Amino acid sequence: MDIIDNYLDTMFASYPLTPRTVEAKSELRAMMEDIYNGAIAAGQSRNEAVGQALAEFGNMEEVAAVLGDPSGAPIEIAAQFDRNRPAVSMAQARNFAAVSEKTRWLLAWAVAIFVLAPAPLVSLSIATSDPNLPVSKALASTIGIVILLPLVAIGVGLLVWRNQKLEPFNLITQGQGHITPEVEVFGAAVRREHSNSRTMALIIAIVLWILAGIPLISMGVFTQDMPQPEADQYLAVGMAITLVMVAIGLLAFLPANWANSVANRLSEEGMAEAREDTSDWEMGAYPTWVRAFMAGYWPIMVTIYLTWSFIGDAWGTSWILWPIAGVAFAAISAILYAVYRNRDTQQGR
Amino acid sequence: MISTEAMRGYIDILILSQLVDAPSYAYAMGKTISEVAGGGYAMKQTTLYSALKRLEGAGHVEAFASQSESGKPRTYYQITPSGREMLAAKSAEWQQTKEVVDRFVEGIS
Repeated sequence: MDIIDNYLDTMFASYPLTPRTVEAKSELRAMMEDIYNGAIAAGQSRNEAVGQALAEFGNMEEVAAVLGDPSGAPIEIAAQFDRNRPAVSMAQARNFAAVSEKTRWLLAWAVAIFVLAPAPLVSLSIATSDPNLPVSKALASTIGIVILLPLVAIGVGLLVWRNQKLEPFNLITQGQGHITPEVEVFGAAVRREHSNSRTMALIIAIVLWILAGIPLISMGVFTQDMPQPEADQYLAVGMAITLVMVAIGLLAFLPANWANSVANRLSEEGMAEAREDTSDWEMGAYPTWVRAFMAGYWPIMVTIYLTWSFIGDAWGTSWILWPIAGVAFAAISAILYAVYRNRDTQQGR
Repeated sequence: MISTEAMRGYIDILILSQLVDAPSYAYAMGKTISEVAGGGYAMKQTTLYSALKRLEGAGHVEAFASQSESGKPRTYYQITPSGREMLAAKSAEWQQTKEVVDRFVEGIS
């Protein structure tokens, strides 16, 4: 019931404390409490029950007449609203929370898969430094890449799938709406209801992430006196276990974080953040050749890497392509961003 | 869903008619309105509360403290003789309104 009390406090914030306002607040609180209890008795979750009580609240301007406030509307609350943006309705907020909860595993698996995807490539590359192994380094790397690419594709697919499910909530995800106090209070209620499970998941994840260093470090210590090719076998296993632990940590934490993300989004600060993010990633601001370059950059790098490595049998040195390509991409993106965003802003003035 | 605006003149009928046989309290009245309307209309809490206070101010209902079925202290409202008169007048007005509007609606359907 804290959420309902906070909500009423917000609604009555701009009214002077008089016997009439105290009575109105306590009567409305009793009505909301009854609606909440009625919804719980009807089998709804606490989350949904609070949502229903807030959705059925109505409009403070009606109560203002009863309170005898000559100014009518609660000016201070109304002034916070950005009237130029459509309000996010309670129904939209509730659906957004429901879809975010449903799709929480898609995000978690996508990120975990991205972490796990390079594990076979890295581990096989390290392990095959032993020339006595029947598997050649080239074959091992090929197997690694053959596993890596489909995994990345699956991860991207999961993210695209999730984005599609969240597509109807562009008003919220792209920060195009404004958040009313009731929606913000609802977001806070969702966060509070799931805060215990989130904290637990965060603790498990942090423990796993700290412990994730142990396999690699202990393998390093354990293989100190071994000849390098033999030691590499163990290091490869250690590396794989480390990545698996990091991925498990992500799988523990990310699905438990949805309520927090929903609450962050359902606030005016969250909306402003979303607007910034969206404009940062708004590719429409760039000319076609830039967009084509951005889209094709990494596939081209993979092609160069594979061609160079296979034809030149340069598996030992071709890895240098990745850090260089990474730094180059960041530099090129920064320059393009500076040039086109600047131009865009000037045109907008 | 019928808009609050369309229902505005008849909110008093929805409330007072429920008090003819026995006193009631806000949540129970709101719930009955939703059930009877069958999803066609739901009265917001602020609408219901402000209407009850207005009716009380005009002497059409009287408020008194009692306990709801769940044992919680709630403000109950009972209809007064002037409330019954008002309900009768409003009901008659509604019948007339309905007949007049129907004559126009029938013409277009």
